This record gives sequence, C-alpha cells and structure tokens, in this order.
Amino acid sequence: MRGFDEVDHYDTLEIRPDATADEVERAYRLLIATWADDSLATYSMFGEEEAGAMRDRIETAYRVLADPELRRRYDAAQLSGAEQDSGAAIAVEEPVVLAPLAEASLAKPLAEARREVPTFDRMDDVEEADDGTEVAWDGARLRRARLMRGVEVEDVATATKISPAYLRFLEEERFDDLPAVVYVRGFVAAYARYLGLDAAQVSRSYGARFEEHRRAKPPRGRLLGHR
Amino acid sequence: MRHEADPRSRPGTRPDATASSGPHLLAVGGGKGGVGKTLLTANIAAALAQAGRRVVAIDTDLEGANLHTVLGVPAPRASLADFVAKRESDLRKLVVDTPIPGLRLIAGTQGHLGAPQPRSFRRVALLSELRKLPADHVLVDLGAGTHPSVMDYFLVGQDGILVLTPEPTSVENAYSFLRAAFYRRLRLAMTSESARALVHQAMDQGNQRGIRTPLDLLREIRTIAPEEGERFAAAVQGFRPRIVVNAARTAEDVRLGFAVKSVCKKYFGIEADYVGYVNHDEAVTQAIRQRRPVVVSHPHSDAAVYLTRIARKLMDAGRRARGSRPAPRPHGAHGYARRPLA
Repeated sequence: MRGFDEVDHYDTLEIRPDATADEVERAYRLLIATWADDSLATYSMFGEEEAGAMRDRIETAYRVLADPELRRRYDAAQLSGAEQDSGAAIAVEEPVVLAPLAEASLAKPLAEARREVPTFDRMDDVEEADDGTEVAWDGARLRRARLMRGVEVEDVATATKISPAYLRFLEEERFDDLPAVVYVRGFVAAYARYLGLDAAQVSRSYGARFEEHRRAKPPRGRLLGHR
Repeated sequence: MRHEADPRSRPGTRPDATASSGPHLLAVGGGKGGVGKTLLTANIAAALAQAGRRVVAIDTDLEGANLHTVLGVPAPRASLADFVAKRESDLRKLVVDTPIPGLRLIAGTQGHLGAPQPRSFRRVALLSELRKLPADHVLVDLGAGTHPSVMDYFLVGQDGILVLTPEPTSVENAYSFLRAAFYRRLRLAMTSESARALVHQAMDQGNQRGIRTPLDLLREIRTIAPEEGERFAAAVQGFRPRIVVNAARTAEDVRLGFAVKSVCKKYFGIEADYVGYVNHDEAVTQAIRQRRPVVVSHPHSDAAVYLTRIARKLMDAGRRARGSRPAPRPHGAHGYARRPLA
C-alpha cells in the first residue's frame, strides 16, 4: 500500500478526529470521487489496482466512522492502544505501514499534532468578514459558497426539494422571477443549511436584499408565490 | 500607512518582513505552460499591493517573459537577464515601477537566446539577492517545465504555489512538477552522498532498484542510514505546496483541488493546501487585452474576488509561518542558498 503515513481511519478520510458526522460524509464523497476509475486527479499517478485498494480502504474507514457505535468503539480502541481488541466488527486496518515515519516526525501524538496543522480546507472561512462583522449574502456569494463545496445546483435541488430553476434565480438574483419574500427566505434558509452555513443569518441578509428590491420595484399583476 | 492596512499588526512592527528575515517569498509554478502562472503572479501581487503591502514581482521565465505585459509595463530595458549575464549584480537595481502603487517588477525580457537559464552558482547568488529586495512579498513567476532552475526558484520560497487547470495535460504536468520538486527537496535534505545517490536513482522512474514511490525510497534510505530517514521525514513534513485550480467552470473542477490534495497526501505523504480556485471568467480575457491585472481592471468580477481571496490567504499564511517560526532563518525555509547543487 502506498499510503504514506496513514495510521488510522481518520487519516484515510483526511479528516480530524473531532470531525462531525457531516464532515465524515463529505470527506467520504469527495474521496470516492477522487479515487474513482478515470478520475482526473488520480489516473496518471495510480494504476487501477492501486486506486481500487485505496477505495477499499476509504470504504472501510467510512463504514466505521459513519456509524456512531463503531466509531465510538474504534476511538476507544485507538485510545487504549489495544488495536485488536475491537474485533472483526470494526474491521481493523492492516498493520500501519509507516507509523515510524509519523513517530519520527511528530513528537506529540498524531491526533493532537494534526489539530494544530493550519488548514485551508474550510474554504468557507473567508466568507467571514475579517473584522468579525456579518457578511452580506447576495446571489454571487451563495453561488461561490456552493462551488467551494463542490456542489452542483442539482445536488442542492435534490436535497432541498427546491426546483433548480429557483435555485438559479436565487444565485442570479433574478428577483422578478422569484415568489414572495416568505418563500424566498425559506428557500435561502434551506439552501444555506444544506451548505452548512448559518441559515438564519444568510436568509436574513439575502431576504433584506430581496425586500429592498421588491420595495423599489414591486412585481406587477402576478399572484405572489404562484407561477 | 501600511500599518493601517493591517489592524492586527503591532504598532511599529512590520507583520511579515523584518530586516533579518527578508521578504515573504512566493513562487508560482505548475509545470505546464498556459495554465495561468503569470496571471496568478500578476494578480496576487496586485492584490497584495492593493492591501497596502510592498510587493516585487519577478519574471524568471526568460524564454517567454510576459509578466511585464500583464502588469502594463512596456518591455523594460532592465531585466533579470542582466543579472544572469552578470551585467548587474545588484538585483535591486533591476526593479522598475508598474502602474499599480506598491507593486514593482523585475522583468524577464531580453534574455540570451542561447543560454537563458542561469548556471547553478548564479542561481544561488540570485536566490540570496531575492531576500534583499525591499518588499514585504516577492512573487516569483516561474517558467514551464521542470528545469533545475525552475525547481530551485520554487523551493526557495516559503510558499510554493502549484497552478493547474482542470485538464488531463495540466494535471499530469502538475504531478511531474511536484515529483521533481519533491525529489529535489529530498536530495537537498540528505547529508550523505549515498542517500543523495539513492534519491537521484529514485528520480529515474525506470530505475533498476525498483524504487517506484517515495515510500520505497524511504525504505531504501532507512536501510543504509536510519538518521537520514528522519531527515527524509522532516523534509516531507516541511513541504507544503499550495494548490490553485485555475479556469474552473463546474463544481467538479473546484473539487479537483481537493482531489490533488488527497493524492499529495496518499502518494507523497505531503500536506498540500488547497488555497482556492479561479473561475473561468470573461473578465480575465478582457483584462489581459487591457494589459492590466483583473483585480485592478475588474475588481468586482468573480475572478478578481477569488484572486483577492487567494492573496489574502497567502498573506495570512506568510504571517502565520513567521509567527510560529522560532528564529528567523536568513537563508530560507531550508537553508537553501548555502548549498549549491548542480
């Protein structure tokens, strides 16, 4: 196995030990896409067999970490250092390939050290204004937040049951094509929640923008909310 | 003035650069030509200048220099070529102004057609000259390919930015580039001739010893010298390329950065950072025609927003790197300039 210093399931999924269930899910989906056959990112570096082996590893890690009970037992086993104690149910990984490398390079326990590594993975961190004030959410910012998470409009539509057309109108700020403000706030909140954003803040901010537009330019002769 | 731009800095101190540590060096590479290295260099430099930093951008692509054009500077007479040809030994004398306040340039124009790349000793001189430039940030625009001089410029920076586009050719070349940088860095980290020789062998992908991956190489090095194995591990840990995906059109393109990061981790064992992407944007094309960085000509375009964001992250990274470093290292992240290497 080529894994360099993969010492546990968290490394395999490239997440921190305190990752939420959501983060586990996201990491898994991203990795499965990355290590798929014909993946743009891997085909030139890894043969089919190697990519397949990596996928197996990812699947195993995911099976354990996505299940709260298995994860709890796995964590406990890691902590106590009793690797085999967890039994077959946890599907303990093959012996660590490169633990010595990790030990040589990290004086502290790996988990602790990993927490300190500055990371840019949370690409949405820049959405927070630098001075701590709330950022204003407009369509472009919503779209950026979506793209940063590698999510297509169709994914949002499937998850939120909002039509892709409305989602696009939200992003393009085609306010005249959108229904009444109460619906728009609901759409935005659902959209933001799906992206892992602060739903209340995003819908308040976007809603204010929308209402301002409606005040300036009320829609003519159309029943709000019905198309 | 600059202090006002950064409220977090203590009064009277420059947050990123001190006299002893020199400017924050950022190199922009990516292997393939046409992926946007010059675009990234020009715009990150301009964005940093807009944020109130003193920036020097330097075009090391002596065979295809056009950073000056993107920055709106007519082909300057003074150029890095003068330094390479030893007509000038003080890099500071080759700096010219650009139309963007706070941003200055060392152009790569007028290179010697027969021998455009500096020889290794001249490169070492150049690398130490870079640290004397009076700037907070020095952006180094690299040429295409994996010539040793390109790798040297890439490795000398505290931040090496790897630019790629969502195309197989670009991704393949980005990996070749990364591989070359990785092995060159390792070779420098090894102290014994035998370990260096092993790294050199591993660089030949068809080598007879069956060293195919960094892991194979580490095993081999361990067997000849365990302490070199530790140096190996430290060198791997300290290598943190920054990934930028340029010309992204879809969410899948955006994901590519994370995927490449995963490959870095699982193949090389290195922690790369995905610092952001730049979407495909008509404003970029228009900006190039106007010979201005898009962050200046179209500051509200999507591309400009993304580029500014990348610049801000790199600025923070530079600050953090310095903050966490125990003592200033006048010779770069890994004592590079002291050691000439053919």
